[in-house]
Amino acid sequence: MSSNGSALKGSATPDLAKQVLAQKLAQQIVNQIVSDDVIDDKIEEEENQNKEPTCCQMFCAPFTLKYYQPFFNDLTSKVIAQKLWASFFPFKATFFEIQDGKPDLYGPVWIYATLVFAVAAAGNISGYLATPSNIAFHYNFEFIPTASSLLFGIAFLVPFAIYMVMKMLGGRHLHLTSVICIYAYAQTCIIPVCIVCSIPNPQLQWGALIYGMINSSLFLIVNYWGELEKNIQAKKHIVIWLIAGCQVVLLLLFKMYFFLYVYTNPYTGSRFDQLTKIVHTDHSFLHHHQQH
Amino acid sequence: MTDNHPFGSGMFQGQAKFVDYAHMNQQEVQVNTLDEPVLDTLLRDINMILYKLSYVIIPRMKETQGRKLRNWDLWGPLLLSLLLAMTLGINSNQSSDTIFGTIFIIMWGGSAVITVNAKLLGGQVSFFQSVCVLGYCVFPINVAAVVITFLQSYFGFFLRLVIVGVAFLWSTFSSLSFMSSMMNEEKKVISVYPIFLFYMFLSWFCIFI
Repeated sequence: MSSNGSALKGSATPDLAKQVLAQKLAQQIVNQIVSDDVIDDKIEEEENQNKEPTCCQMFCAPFTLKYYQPFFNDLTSKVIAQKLWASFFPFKATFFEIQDGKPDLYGPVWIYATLVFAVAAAGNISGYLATPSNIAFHYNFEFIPTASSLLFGIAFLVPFAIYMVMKMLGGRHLHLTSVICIYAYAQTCIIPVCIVCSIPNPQLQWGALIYGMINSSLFLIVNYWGELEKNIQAKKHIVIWLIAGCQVVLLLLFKMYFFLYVYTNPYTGSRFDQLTKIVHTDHSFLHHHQQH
Repeated sequence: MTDNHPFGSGMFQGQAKFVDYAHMNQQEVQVNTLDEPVLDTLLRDINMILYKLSYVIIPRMKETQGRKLRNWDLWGPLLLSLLLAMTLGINSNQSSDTIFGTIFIIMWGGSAVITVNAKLLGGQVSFFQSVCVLGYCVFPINVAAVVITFLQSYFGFFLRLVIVGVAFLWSTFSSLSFMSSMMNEEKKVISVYPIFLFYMFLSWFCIFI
């Protein structure tokens, strides 16, 4: 309103001055109306935000899709491929750089789904190859529910345990989703391990499982080393042993349940032996045994 | 609803509604068809299912041709999943209840998870359309399972592998044309991989009946 005086001073005719004044007034009225609307909307928005979320909203939030949307934004095939590749090279701590502060939940879901398939399939293949030809093989469908419960269970429980332990020992800059994410990518190396374990040779299976143990534990420890060194120096061994211990237990469970059936009968030979034509059906072993 | 009909909506408004089998509005169906013989209702539904199956049998790679699959219904996927679960359950004597349950859960739970995944990755896909498409595209795997069940004694292991492999690839390509048209270029691989895993899971059961 203070600009009207300056407009009036410089004008030649009073009519022109009135016109200018009228225009300015009209413009200001319109501005006022528009900004009132905008202010009303803004006030409403602020009120909605300042309202405390109701109890129902707080508990129901994890069941809405919107809750998980932030974890899938800006996700590209390239980033996921880079993370998967990085999980096979545990000595380089590049995972958090690639992730760049945006943990994703795509990895956990689909890596564990693939693992369930791989373990169930490989367990059955190794059982099939390990039985002798004269024994009929029954596909064990129980592997799938067992593998899903086991893997999707550890998907949340072990990262939760690691998160709680690290938080209690003084870790900072930790987010539960980030721990779930990195734990899932650490299990990626077990997929090729399962494929290798479908061959029913016990030494091969143990070797592959030990490689899986070492790779996944190292991946987690090396990537968390910075965090461990900075914030938890004194008690970092607790976290390291926790991580390694969980991996050892997991892979022992794999061996004892899914890849248990390694049938080494020297007389008949398993289907695998017949496939690779290793078995010798001379009974020299039997004679040798009888002499002593 | 009267989009493709040559007579505009003006001519027949209030007198009769154009009955489009593939695009039925549920309330209108109930008003018009409550008195019709049951056989008519069944035949209409079966026609709808067969119409959609023809889209699965001949995978259309162009997105425009897959548009008819957007009129979703869940009868087809239900019938196909029951058929698959029963076929696979018949053959294995020991654990037929585990198989039935596993196949059912994998099929419906898997479709739901893949759809949620596609939505979260930013795809403009409706939940039930996607579940419908994924369910219908299980048809080739169903055919393979039935063929293997009834001609078991003639097939060696490798022939079985070939049949199931062909069925798996067929299913995957059928659903790809619908699903991948929804996604960005940079997210195509990560949205297609779950579909690949889903059909691989279902095909795997067929090999080892």
